[in-house]
Amino acid sequence: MLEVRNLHARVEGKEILRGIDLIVKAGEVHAIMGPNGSGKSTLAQVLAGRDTYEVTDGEVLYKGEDLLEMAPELRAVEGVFLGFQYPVEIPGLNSLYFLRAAVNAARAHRGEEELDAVDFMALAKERMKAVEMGEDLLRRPVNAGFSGGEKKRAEIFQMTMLEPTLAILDETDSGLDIDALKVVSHGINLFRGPDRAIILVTHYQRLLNYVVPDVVHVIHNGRLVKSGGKELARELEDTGYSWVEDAAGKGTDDTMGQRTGYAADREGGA
Amino acid sequence: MAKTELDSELVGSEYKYGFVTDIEAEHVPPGLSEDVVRLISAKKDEPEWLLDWRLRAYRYWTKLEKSEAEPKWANVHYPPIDYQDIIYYSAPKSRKDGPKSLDEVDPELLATYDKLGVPLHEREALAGVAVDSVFDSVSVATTFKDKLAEMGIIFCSFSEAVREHPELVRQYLGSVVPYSDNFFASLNSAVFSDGSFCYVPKGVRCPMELSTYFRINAAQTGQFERTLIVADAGSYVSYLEGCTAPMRDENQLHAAVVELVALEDAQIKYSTVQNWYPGDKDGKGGIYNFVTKRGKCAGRNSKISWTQVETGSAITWKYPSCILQGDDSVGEFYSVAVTNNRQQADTGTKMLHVGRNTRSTIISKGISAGHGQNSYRGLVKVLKGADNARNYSQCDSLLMGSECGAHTFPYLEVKNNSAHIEHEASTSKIGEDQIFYCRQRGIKEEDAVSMIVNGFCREVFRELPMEFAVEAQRLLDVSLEGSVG
Amino acid sequence: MTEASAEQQGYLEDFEKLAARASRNGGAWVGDLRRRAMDRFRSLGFPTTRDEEWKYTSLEGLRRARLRTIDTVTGGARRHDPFDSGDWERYELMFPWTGEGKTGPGVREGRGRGSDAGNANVAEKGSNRVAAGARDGDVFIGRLADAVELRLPWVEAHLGRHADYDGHALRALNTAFVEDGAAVRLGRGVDLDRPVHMVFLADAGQESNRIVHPRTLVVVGAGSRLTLVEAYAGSGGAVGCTNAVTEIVLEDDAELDHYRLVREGGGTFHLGSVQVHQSRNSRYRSHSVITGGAMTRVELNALLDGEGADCLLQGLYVAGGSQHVDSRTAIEHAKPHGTSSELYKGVLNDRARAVFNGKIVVRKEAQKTDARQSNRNLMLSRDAEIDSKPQLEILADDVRCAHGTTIGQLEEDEMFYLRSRGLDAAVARKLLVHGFASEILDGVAIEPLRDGLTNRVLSELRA
Repeated sequence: MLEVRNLHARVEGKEILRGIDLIVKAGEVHAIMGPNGSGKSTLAQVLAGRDTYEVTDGEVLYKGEDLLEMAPELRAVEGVFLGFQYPVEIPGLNSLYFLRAAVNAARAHRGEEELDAVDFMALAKERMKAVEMGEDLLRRPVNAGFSGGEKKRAEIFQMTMLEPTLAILDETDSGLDIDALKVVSHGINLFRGPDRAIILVTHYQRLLNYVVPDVVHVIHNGRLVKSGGKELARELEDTGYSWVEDAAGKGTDDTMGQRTGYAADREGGA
Repeated sequence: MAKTELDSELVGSEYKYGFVTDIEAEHVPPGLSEDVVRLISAKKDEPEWLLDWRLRAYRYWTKLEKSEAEPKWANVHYPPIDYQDIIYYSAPKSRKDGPKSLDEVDPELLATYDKLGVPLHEREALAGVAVDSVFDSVSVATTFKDKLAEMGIIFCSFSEAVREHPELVRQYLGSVVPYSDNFFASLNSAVFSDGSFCYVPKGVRCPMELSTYFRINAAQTGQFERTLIVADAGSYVSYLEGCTAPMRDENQLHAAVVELVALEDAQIKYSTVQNWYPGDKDGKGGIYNFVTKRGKCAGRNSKISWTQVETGSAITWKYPSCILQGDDSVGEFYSVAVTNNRQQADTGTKMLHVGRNTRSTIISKGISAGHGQNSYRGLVKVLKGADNARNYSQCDSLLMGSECGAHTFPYLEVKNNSAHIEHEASTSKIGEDQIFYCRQRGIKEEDAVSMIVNGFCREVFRELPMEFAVEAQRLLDVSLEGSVG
Repeated sequence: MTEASAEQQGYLEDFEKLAARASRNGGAWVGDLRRRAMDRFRSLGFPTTRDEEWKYTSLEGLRRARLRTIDTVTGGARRHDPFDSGDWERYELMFPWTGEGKTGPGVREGRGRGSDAGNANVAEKGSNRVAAGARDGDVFIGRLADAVELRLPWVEAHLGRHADYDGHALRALNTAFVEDGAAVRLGRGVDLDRPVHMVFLADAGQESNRIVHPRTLVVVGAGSRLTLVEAYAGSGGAVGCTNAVTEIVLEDDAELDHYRLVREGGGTFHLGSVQVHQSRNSRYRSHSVITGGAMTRVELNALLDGEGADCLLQGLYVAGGSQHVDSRTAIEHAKPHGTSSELYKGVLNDRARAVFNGKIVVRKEAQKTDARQSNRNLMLSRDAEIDSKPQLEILADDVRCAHGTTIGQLEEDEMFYLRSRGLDAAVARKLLVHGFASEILDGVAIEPLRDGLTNRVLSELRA
């Protein structure tokens, strides 16, 4: 479904992604884990088409098409969904109205009829239950005044409404207490299916206790330095990220700010 | 015979209402003098007192014109206006004595209103709207008059009110905006040709929205209409006003005066969607909209609420205001002002707190795009005796593009220490992260911008009657079309 | 040239006297500057309330008073510090404008009140008293008259170049009479070891109807740091006027903490104007405290003319009786990535009247500007009046700007809360007013000065 080859991207002249290679097949759940600043959120944003990042090399094929050529809204209606780490507030814009516009944009793209307000509401009510979200939230402006947990639930709810084929969930677990985490995980698990793929971008392993991934990748300094099964996540949890630098190989010539921190960690721990 | 030209190249998304109606019109030659004032008054067969009042206004205006002329403090720029080059009276030539009913109205005129979307014919019954339409200088037809008359509500053209209800007109004309108020109000007082008049008697709640559509049609013509609304004790009325004008290369002057009077426990809600021709992309042509609107909450516990959506005009200069004279009276001002291309707007309100326990709310949303310059100018004044006055003002500006400007000039003058005044203002760019968020959900950039802008204006739009709110959103989209990219 | 009006006549005569006397001092450019400014003043005349900038403040009283200019800085006995600001290390510059003698002002290193320690005239004819670590010639702290006479190049480079008087009659008048005041300059990379404290005493005493035009020039070189206390004080009720202009230049990465304190005598008009020019990454922090005087108007304009410049303005005005106090600030962002933050607070008693006008201008090039402004006013009496006019003029699109204003009494629920804890109304009120003012006073980093100011303000408030 998704093939990322040698992807390089930078922001304000600073190279963040330095050659990402990744293949995600339909039905799979991939977890991309890494410390802060490793480039994992950048990867999510680049896949969704954020233009603050400049792609300098490499290619991305989505269902065999050149994803990087597509406008963000085209990627969205083609089935790429990004669950934002920090969902954006839009004052005054009603959530229901917004979501119906989004759902209908995708339907129109697929040549389906638009949902009227009544059918849409019926669908929304049903899907809301899965993430235990209150209806009142939908009556408010998009994300405005939502708590951190409410925003993340609303993202998952939007995902279930939009029914994408590739969902990229960026730090969906951050800022959630354990109950909310279970709810959100439940929503994601319901969404899993043989035709769909999910990329979970996360710093911590705890989400992966509830949404069990097929493949785990470790990202460091803009590269995937290690891949493995779900046990890799557990390993990371036990040992921290200090060892990834070794795995990244001595050839790395980077001087990213975070490195000293990890290096210091390693000296203390290893 | 009359024919309507519709220049399809120019109309369309740019300015939908830019057609010219080719109706035989009768007008006086350009220029302003005492004779012209007398002529206008004579054509309308006005009583002596009104002519006197016009002449006093005219003489005051000529004095002003010689000394300081137009107000200079507004943040707008335009070449000097030649007041001798304007036609001060223009009326569609019709059967003598004017139309008695819709059937008698020139069909071309009706077709024009059709294009404007004015629900003048049957549709208005469904919409529950009574419409008074002012075409250039005279009031064309007033619908629903009979039904309203049963309840004692007077809703008619200004000229008719002068004929039929002179005592009411005489009592209230100039009582809120005296002819000496400002340069443009003086000019209007001298030459106003028509407008709307409304009186709602004691205790009556007007069952439908009253509406006036204004249109400037003839070339070289200024429009100087005058609206007077009086809500007697315990009454309620909601009034809608819409404006359009054809596209012309020269600038046209619109200097209207609106006076509202709310007596004890009365409420007036006044909504405007202003879509005068804004000029072309390079600022050629367009309406100079120099308007004085003011309401007086004369009685205890009265309320006046202004809502305006200003998308049109080359230059907008207007400050719908409230004099909160009655104790416990309430003034509100909700405004969306858009400037795109070369448009300039200097608009806001004045809230004058005179009585005790008076309250006012100001919500202003300014949107600047293209080379547009948008200024909010507002005065909140609390006089010595206005105990426990409350004001909350919020003025937000949204910038779209690097060539436009947003300015905020609030004046807060407080002479009573029991007042509680709060003013907030902010200016920011339309959020790139907001646009991206919408696009990531599959919404096109244009639509995303429209949604975000409409969200920004929501607090104002929700004050509009439903049909108007839809119209306002659509106008906003049209006037901002292509301004982000 | 327009005919001078009657109220300008005295100024013209005084000007000609100055021009004759000072013609040979410091090069022709000073004379030219004075004359240009005088011409400007003649054509401008005093502003009236018809000028938008003077809408709420009338100079009728000043115009009618026909003041005469004290022709030079004279002074004798050292005055004690009028702000009771206590004991702290500083360089002190005293400018007593009195008619008592001919001793010029001097610079002392001292520890404040009553201390005679180190009574050396640091700037006597430019003998530069150099702070620890600074190279020779890097530091000048002294009289502007001396700096002009010594023909120091930085004086000509900056004096009159920033405080534009074109549309500003009072600045023009000050510039026409530019002769003396303070001059401070730090070269590159100087971190002065103690604050500079300049005191302008308009202590006319017996002499009424006098006007003085103190002029101050401060140049902080690249990467240098300075703390400046600029204090204006007077006593007695005689009618008079202090018409002060301060020009401040901050070069790249320079930092200045500026305390501008005003406590004039009961009959005095204080008209102050501060113009700050900020270069790249410079930081300007202003703390303005105004009490006393019949009418005080202080204008503070900062031009952020380099990328990444930062400007913080804090102000407190306290007025009672029939005092009139007018604070005006204008922050102009001319280059990208600038930040500014402003908080002005006012407390009014009796029949006092306050005016606040705060303007933020963001020019087209000044993208990524972040500017905030807030004005809060407390009206403690029925007869007080406030006119507040915050203003945003934004011509760049990628900015965040905001302002807010509040006008009101003490919050009833706050009062109630304190009273419910057993405090009587008078004590509760005192605590709340103190709290209101403290937000500004607490920003004064020189502790003895802060305590002195706090006491002064609280006594003015009778709280």
